[in-house]
Amino acid sequence: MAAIEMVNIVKQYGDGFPAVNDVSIDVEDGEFMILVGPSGCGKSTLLRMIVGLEDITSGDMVIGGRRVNDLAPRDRNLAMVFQNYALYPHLSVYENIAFPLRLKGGVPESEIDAKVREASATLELDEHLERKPGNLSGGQRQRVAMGRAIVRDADAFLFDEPLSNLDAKLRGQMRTEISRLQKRLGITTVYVTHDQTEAMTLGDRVAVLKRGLLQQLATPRELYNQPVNLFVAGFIGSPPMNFLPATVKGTGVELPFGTVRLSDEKAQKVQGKELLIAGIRPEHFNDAAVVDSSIAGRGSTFRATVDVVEWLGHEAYAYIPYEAPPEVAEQLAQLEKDLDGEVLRTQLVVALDANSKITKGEEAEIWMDASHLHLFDPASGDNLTLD
Amino acid sequence: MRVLASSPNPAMLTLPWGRPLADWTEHIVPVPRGLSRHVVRVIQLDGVFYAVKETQEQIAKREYRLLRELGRRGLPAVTAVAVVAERPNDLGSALVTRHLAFALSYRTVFGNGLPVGGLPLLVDALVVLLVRLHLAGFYWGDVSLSNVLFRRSAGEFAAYLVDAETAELHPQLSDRMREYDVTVGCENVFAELLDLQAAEPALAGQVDPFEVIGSITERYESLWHELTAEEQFSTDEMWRIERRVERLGELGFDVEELAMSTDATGSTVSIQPRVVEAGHHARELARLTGLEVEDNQARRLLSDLASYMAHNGFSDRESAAHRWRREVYDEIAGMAPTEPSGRLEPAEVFHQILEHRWLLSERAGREIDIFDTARDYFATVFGRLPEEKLGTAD
Repeated sequence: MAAIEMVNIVKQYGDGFPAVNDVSIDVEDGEFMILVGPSGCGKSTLLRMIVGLEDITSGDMVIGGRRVNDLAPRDRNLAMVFQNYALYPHLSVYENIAFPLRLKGGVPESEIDAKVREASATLELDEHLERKPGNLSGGQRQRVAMGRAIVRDADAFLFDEPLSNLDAKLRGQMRTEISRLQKRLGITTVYVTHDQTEAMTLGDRVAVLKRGLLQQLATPRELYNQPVNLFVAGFIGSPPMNFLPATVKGTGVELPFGTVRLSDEKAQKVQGKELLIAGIRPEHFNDAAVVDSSIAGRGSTFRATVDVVEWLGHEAYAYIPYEAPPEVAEQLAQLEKDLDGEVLRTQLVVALDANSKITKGEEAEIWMDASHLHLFDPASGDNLTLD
Repeated sequence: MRVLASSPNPAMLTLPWGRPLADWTEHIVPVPRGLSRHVVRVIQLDGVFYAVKETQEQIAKREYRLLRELGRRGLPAVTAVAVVAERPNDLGSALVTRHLAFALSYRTVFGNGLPVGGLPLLVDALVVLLVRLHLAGFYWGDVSLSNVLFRRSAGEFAAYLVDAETAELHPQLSDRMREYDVTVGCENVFAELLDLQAAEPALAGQVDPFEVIGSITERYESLWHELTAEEQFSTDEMWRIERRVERLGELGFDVEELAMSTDATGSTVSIQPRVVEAGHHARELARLTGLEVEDNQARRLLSDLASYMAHNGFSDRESAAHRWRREVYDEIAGMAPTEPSGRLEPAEVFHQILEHRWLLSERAGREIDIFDTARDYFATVFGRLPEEKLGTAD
């Protein structure tokens, strides 16, 4: 086991473009770290610098206290999990797991046996060990591939978008398997994904990257509740946070659907500003008719015409279009580009209680909990109202 | 359903896309295969063979583009023909590639009785493919025997890439990425050989997987060095430039660009091939005769052409080649039994006839005529060969 420290890492290609720009991330021993961001954010390049596939232009890569910048991949004792998914039909599950040890040459049979059995116990493959892999389920096959990584006794596990080529059902199943495995083995893990749901459900901490720059390094909860900028706020959460034009008026802000009062603390932070971008997540809205009376008082209500309602059983989403001034529309268009075209049309997405009776085309009274409102600077994108 | 295709084939739309590939029964051609992450099947449609792989749309499209790009650059890979997306019943997308004629998987090569001694030939073919891909900036990510198909090439094999799912194309590949590809390749081939031994116990005592992967690394490094290393010599050894170019030609590569420099005193010269292109013999043969064959087959045919010229006293290579094609090569191709047609491709048949002539001549103690050889070959050898074209097997 080992900690992985990335210190002021820069990766510059021949054309001078910095694919990774001054990134510092410390992965603690045993920690599950996620590198997440849209394509071109530098996450895979960073992982490859950990593996040793990419040269590091400047900065230090330290694994287990040892600077590894100049070490070849094979000398770093890391395991790329799922690098080899192939199962060999004529070899038993046991041998499918054991072959990396056989490849080392000279490993005593007793040691191979102990390691394979330990891995199979961890992966709950014991009863399949002597069978041929042909009849294993999709999930079991993936576990065999994980077994190969386990027997290597690596200092850390690395995953590069491991679930992107699986179907949705197997993807969900494997997410749980990977999480369980990592907790059981307590092995330092770096996991690259573009999928914020994977990031949020798997990681102890998540590093959000955009165009080679580290945006925020925090726990999933902190990213969700305290995003440092518009990009992180828009990237984390599904459906994404709503962004609305907001004009500061005294101790409140004027939104397209009415004015809301800010807490003294927030009002203080945006004093002197004019046009801002307000961010609020869909679940901080509701149908005013069904809001629990115990919390109704801390929010405010407004009336708006609902364009579309999607009912999902446990809740529903209502879509309410709005107009945005050019400054805000421009920043939102840029944000949409940064998020790989994740749709951020100028419409409000509102989560409604499943009991709500609001229907499409109806003018409804919507409740909003303004205590969760974030205010962003439209020029820099910074969150001005962090706690 | 949406189909992205390079050359639209309406029949493609008639396939049962609404059912999972694993459940297809019509059009399926049985071929030996390993266990891959995705369902892969070989199908026959209007007499043409295709491989169909079920995967996610983004991955299928990416691989489609990569394979098309390899094709554009003349690198040996299967041809991607279509991506089928938004299939009925929420089924995954599919990548369709055209199956190479007369191409064999490594499992089939051994199934067709390749002697164990032939294993280094497969390894060599894999290494040549890997070096060619690396020279083009192509990182494979999953080098293995399963991910290539082999075509016979006059006693050797030529390897074609069939799976580019993990691959990436870069302007240039770093040494580390190349090394990593070789490391991964060694791991995969090692496991594939263990698997092969488990399937064919007769191979067990005869193949040493450690020796094989040792030779992958060694052969790769040596070929890479031959093709890319800088060489220094004094100005009175300028003949070494020509020798280097000739040596690369022997290896089957043409030098398209050679960097040369001298030191400050002008007494030492450095040369380094910058752009080399495989297919030295194939290009030469195609220029002379219009025949398009594998490089080693071309080497063999060119050498037959050379003896034909000497034998008949020709001095002009172009006109000799023209006559050789018409009076020898095409004549012999025309002698092959028309049924069944799937045993070997014509250039490989010609190579085997040349081998057969050598045997007959040695036995007779004199040179046997090529046409007499061909008659004997078709009568005694050809009929016993295993079928190697898909769909012609029993």
